[in-house]
This record gives sequence, C-alpha cells and structure tokens, in this order.
Amino acid sequence: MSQEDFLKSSKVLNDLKLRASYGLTGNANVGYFPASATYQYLSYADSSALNISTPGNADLRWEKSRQLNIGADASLWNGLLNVTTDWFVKNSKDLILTNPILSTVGLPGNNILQNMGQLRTQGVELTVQATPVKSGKWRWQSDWNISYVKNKVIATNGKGDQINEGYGLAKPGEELGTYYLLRFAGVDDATGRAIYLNKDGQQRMYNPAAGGSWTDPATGQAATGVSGADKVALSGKTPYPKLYGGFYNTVSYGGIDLTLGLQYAFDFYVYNQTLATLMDNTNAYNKSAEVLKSWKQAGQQAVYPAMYWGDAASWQESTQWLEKGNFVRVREITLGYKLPAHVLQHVKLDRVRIYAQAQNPFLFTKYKGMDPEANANGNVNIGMGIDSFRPFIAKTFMAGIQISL
Amino acid sequence: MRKICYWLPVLCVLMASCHDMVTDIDPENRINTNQVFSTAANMNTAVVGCYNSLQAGDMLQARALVLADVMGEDLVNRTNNFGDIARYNALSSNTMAARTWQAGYKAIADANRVIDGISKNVDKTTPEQAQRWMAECKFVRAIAHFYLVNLYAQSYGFTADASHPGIPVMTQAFYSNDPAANKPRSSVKQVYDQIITDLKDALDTLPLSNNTPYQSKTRATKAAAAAMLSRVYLYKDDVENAKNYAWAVINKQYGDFGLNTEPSQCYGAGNYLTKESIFSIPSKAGDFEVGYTLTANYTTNVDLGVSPDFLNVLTNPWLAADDKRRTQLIALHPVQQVMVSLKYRDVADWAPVIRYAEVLLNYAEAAAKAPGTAPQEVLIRLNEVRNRSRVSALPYTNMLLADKTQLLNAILAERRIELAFEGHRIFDLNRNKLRITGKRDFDYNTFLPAQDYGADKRILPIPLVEMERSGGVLEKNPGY
Repeated sequence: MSQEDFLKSSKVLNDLKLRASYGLTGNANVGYFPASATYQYLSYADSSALNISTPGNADLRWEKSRQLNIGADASLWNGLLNVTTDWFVKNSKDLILTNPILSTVGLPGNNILQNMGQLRTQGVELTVQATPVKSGKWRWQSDWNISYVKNKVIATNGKGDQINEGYGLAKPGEELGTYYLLRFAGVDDATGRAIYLNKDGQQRMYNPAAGGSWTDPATGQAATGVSGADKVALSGKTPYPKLYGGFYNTVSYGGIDLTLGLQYAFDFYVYNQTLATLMDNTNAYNKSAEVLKSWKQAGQQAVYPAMYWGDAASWQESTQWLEKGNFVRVREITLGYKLPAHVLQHVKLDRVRIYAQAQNPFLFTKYKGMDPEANANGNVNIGMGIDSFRPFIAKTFMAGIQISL
Repeated sequence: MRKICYWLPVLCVLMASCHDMVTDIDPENRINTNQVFSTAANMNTAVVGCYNSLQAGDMLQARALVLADVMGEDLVNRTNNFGDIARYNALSSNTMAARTWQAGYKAIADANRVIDGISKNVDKTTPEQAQRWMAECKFVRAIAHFYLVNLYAQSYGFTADASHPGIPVMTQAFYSNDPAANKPRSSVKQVYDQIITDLKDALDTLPLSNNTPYQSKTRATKAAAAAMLSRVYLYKDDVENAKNYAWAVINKQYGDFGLNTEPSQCYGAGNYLTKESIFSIPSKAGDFEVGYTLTANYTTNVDLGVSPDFLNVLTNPWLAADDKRRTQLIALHPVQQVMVSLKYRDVADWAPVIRYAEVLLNYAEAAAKAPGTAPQEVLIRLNEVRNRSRVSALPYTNMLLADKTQLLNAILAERRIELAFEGHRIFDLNRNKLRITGKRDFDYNTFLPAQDYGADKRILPIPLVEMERSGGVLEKNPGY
C-alpha cells in the first residue's frame, strides 16, 4: 500500500502492506488408523487372547477449519519501527474430539473419536519491533508481541450436550475447556466449617463430626448436601491464557550485548491438584505449609476449613483449588561479548563470541503451585490446566563460546 | 507499479476441487474386526479375550475381591491405600469405585460382542463349538454382573421384592457410541434374574472339563456354573435352589472335587490346579498391572493387615489358637511387625474365585436355612470344611449346636474364617443383614463407627463420571 501515490512521498511511513487470506484446511492428525476397528493379541496368563484395540468409527471425516486472516505490516522511520498486526477468525467444524462415553458401551479407554463440535476462535496479534537507540556504539533493539485469543464452542454433538472431561467441559456458548467445578464459598468464621454453593446458588455448610451433616448456614436447619451434581460451568475461567506474548530486549555497546527476554500470560486459571492432595485430610502424607492457614478459633477469618481427620467433603474438588495462573516469566538473560575484529585477524577466525546465559531464572506469579504452566493431561482439547504434582520448568545456567570459521 | 495477477484466481479454483482420499490399508500388527470371527481358532482366542477382561486388576485379578474384604471388619487398611472406602466415607468421585465399575462393564461388553460375533458366523465352526463358546461368554457376563451388583447395590433382601436399584443390565453388543447403551439401573431382582438365566444357559452347554487341567480351572466348566449358581441363589435367599446346585457339585455330578489335606495347599505356586479349585483367575509374570494384584496388597506392599480382633480368641472364639488356617495362613510380617495373610505370596499369584470349600459352605448354610432339613446333613458338610483345619477342637455335633440360630452362627463364622481375604466378607455381612462393628482404622487403635445393615456406605458409589456421562439416567446411591 505504500506504493500508492498518496503515501509514496511520506518520510515517516516507509512501507505499508495490507493483506488478507482465506483458507480451508483439513486436519486428521489423530493417530494411526482411527477409523478402523481392530483387535489386538493380549494374554490371559498362558493363553492367547484377542481383545478390542480400537473401536474405530466408520463415520470419521476430516476436520474442517475455515480461517480468515486480515493483517497489516508497516515500517516507519527507515526501519526503526516495524509493526505487524493481524486479526483472524477461524471456524472449525467436525472437530475430531475424544468423546468420553459410558462404561456400559465397554470400549477401551471409555472414549471414542468422533467428529463433533464446532468451535469459533477469534484473535488479534500485534508485533512491534523497534530500535529505540542506535547511535555510535550503542544499540537497543526491542521486540514486543502480544496476542489476544478467545474461542467459543458453537456446538458439540447434535443434542447440544456438554462434554465433560476432568474438571473442564465443552459447552455450547462457553469457551473450550471452561472449568466445571463445585463452588466453594469460604469458611464460616464461628465454626471453621466449609461452605459450598449448590446448583441454585444457595449456601450449604458441612459439619464433619459424627459421620457428617449439612446445614443451611442462614437458618441453621438441616439441608440437602452438596454433591457432584452441583457443579457448574465457570464462565470465563479456562486454562487457556487469553492474553499472552513476549518481550525481548537487547542492549549492546560495541562487542558487549545483554539480552533480557520476558514471557507473559494473563487471564487463565490453573487447578492446583497438588495442593488439594497435600491438604487432604483422609491420607497421612506430608502436608503443605498451607495447613497453618486453616481455621483454629472462633472469629478467625481463615483461608481453609478446620482440620478434622477423615473429612473428605470439606476438601473435595471445587473452586477452592482453582487459582489464577497469570504470570510473567523471565525466559532468558544473556550476556555476551564478541571479540573485536582486529584480534580475530591474527587467528583467521570470522567471529568469536563468549556468552553466559540464564534460562528461566525468575518467575513472577501469585500461583501457589510450582509452575502455572503445569499441565498434567498434555495436549487435550478439554481437561487441560490441571497441576498434579508437575515439576517446575528447569532453570538452566550456561556459558559458552561460539566460533565461526 | 502495481502488478495484477491474473493467474492467481485460476490456481485457487483448481486447488478447491481436490477432494478427500482415504487409505484402505489394514494395519499389520492388529486384526481387523471382520477377521476376528472368520476362523474357529480366532473365535476361541476372542472368547479368551473375555476372560482376559475379567482378569483386569480392577476386577477379579484383585480389586473387586480386595474391596469386598476392605469393606469388612477383618482387615486393617494399614497404609491407608484404600482411604475413604475402608472408612465408609467415600465420595462419588472415588477413583477405585470408578475403575472397578469400568472394568466390570468392559468384561460384560466384550462378552456381548463375542456372543454377537460368533452368532453371526456359526458357519465357520461347528454348532456345538459355537454354543459352547457363547456359553463361556454368558458365564463371564454373569460373573461380572454378579460382582458389580453386590458391590454397587444393597443386598437382595434390602426390599421385600428386591425392587431397589441395582445396576444396568447389558446384554446387547455395542460397537460405537450407541445411545441404547445409556440404560438406567435395573432393579436388583432383574439383575439376579439375568445372572441366573445366563448361568443356567451356561450350565446346560458348558463341557464337564476343558482340554487340560489348566484350561479346566481357568475357563468355565459345568462345575463352575453350578457352584456359581449355588452362590447366587444363596445371596438371593432362595435356599432350595442354592442347596440343590451345591449338592450337584458335592455329589460329583460335574466332576470329582474335594478338599486338599492342608489349607496351605490351596494357595501359591504349584497349588493352582488342585482338586479343590473350581474356577480361578490365573496370572503370569508380565500379565498383571503392578499394584493391582492380591499379592501386592497383602504381601509386597503390606497394605492390608489382619485385624487383631479376627485373631483374638475372645472376640473371635471360632478361630481356635491351633486352627491350621491361623498357623499356616497367617503370620507376623518380619519387617512390618503386623499380622498378615499368607494366602498370596507369589508375584503372579492366581485369584481363587470358586473353591470346593465354598460349595460345601453354601450347601451347609442353605440347608440350615431351609425348613425341614435334617441337621445332620448340615453338620456333615460343615464338619468336612472344619475338620480339615481343626486340630484339638472337637467336631460339631447336634448337642453342641442345639438350635437353628447356633447352627447358622457356626456356619457363618466358619465361612468368615475359611473364605477370609478371598473377596466375600462384605457380601456375607450385607446379605445376612449383620451389623459391622469393631472395625479398626489404619492406625490399629481407633475404632470406626459401627455400620448398621443398609447403611449408605456399605456399598460403593455409582461413579460420578458415569452419572454425568449418562446425563442423569444413572441414579446415584443414597448418601453419596
């Protein structure tokens, strides 16, 4: 677009390009022979046995995605500032998802690959590359990118059922992987008992003594307890960051260069299964130091309910263990030194650089677990974001020499 | 200068006309479903596949049997491996309950699919062979339903006509996510009716023995079906039928079974194919899931210790101090210093599902409960089991066990000791409407609250994940 007559003579804007693309892609990246039904040989002690291996699905088709992408690239001030921005919307149909099925169907793993679901993903990306300082031996180059991505499940199967898996679900109208949990409503100041919300939003308090009983804290009367049936889809809370990106800066003076790389992700939640297990009052494992924040006396505003041996209900799966995962991570700090040309002439080397690098040295987050990027279930459509005794990403310190001949 | 491409739109049109292609190559290391029932040999191997599913660590290799004893009062859950289940405090999200449910229904589904496959391919084998294999599948289906209905539903006598919720009864083969698989829970009566129908069909068609002793103990035979029927009818409180089927086995109608001389000869490597064994789930190195075997729970990890109250002659006077089931099958663990069962010590130990001793006890109990049975008949069988193990104690006589109540108490006490840690206790407690008292928590010192008959947590929860996936069709167990 910068070639157009009205922009050609601009001294600020050197290059401006508008682009758009539209495409239809297919994807069947779901393992080997997913459509065929096969049996495999196993053993029943000394006898050979044939058991069903993959149930197959003769109706399996390609996934289809239609993506529209509109973007612009601009270059200003002779390359001192480059900006790229993209907006995209992608409609995916016939997503091949593992549909969890009933045990009474009796297929391996209790799931079946099916084309189900429509998903719409929309996003905006912005990349800014700038060289704020470029005078004499000083240079400072900065790269910043940010993405905002949001998806929405348009449909699941024909009946509009919600597909649950782990603590997440796919429900029409919600984002993919939205958390599906019991709502924890805090600890009663006077008695230290856990309060949950039932499906209708009413409070229910649990007393673990004498086999356990539920009351309505407002009236003190006995009430129907809260159970798995009171889980709700927590709109807007997903394991996928909606806002994420990186920020890299390199400052150099002559042959010395210092790079600082940051990575950030916001607006996502992690289910801290590790903490839930460590705080569980039905096992005799070591406990997290968080137990010190449990209720001890009347009037105390505690984070956790009173400790009572054998009490499973006050510590069960719920939003009590769902935490914000927002973080900023220092991905890289590198300090390097390039030997000057006049030194290298003698040894006939083209380039020698000595460097020291720290990878993932710092993490800034309010998340109580080891690492907010934890993911026990791997790359699944639903059911991501569970931190179950996941280790942190390793910090690496290294130093080295790069030589070009 | 702006260039306008003319050939670009043409290229786009060309690319849009590409269509899908599908490969038609079969994988090398697996068999396509339509080949499974194409030869007699493959059909046989598919039938073995049904037993293999029953052999899952969560089903009859270990868990279904272990949970039955963990929920009784004779074990101490010392490593707390069984957590809430042992404390009658589980939640519907309990993983062990979910896994056993899934494993049980997998075995049932496999049996249904093999029956379906064979029935559609009878021409590839002889009609007798086809009937026999389908009978074996019905046996697997019945056993799986039986253990599931007793773990996940209250006993038969909980309501007058057993109309309380049981488990879904599955007799149809499914190959895809068929909505017909989303069945509600049938009543306990309906479940038992299906189990009995299947076992009776199996009894008619199964052989007396299979080719080798190994095959006869690990695959179904007439004796296995009859023995199982005696147990099913006993649980159903149909004492006449229970007595008759047990008697058929005792009377050598289905094979010559008998008790081993010593109790220790029923367990362990080298003792799997004795005359006392009627049906067992075999095992082999590499063929089990680590941690999901009887040996793992009772010996390797010492998850389960024998309760001191079971061993104390004051609280359990029926287990004499010199009884061989104590001296040969229970000992102090050298490292952990707790009393443990010695029944399962080999890594690849088989699980004894049906033993001749149980058939004798089934007979004794059914006969004792049946009106008009001569007490002598009962005593002969009861003594037969007890004589094998008693040393200095005297055999039971009419004088010693004067009335029906005392006789029944003696039989139930004998059953408790003889079948201890073999996957019977909670079922016997539930069907006889007995109160569970004196159960110790994992620290050996605290006593758990007593559980009356019909208490909510004397049975496992219908798994939460199954209820969710059924969209509310499966109703939960009360209290969960």
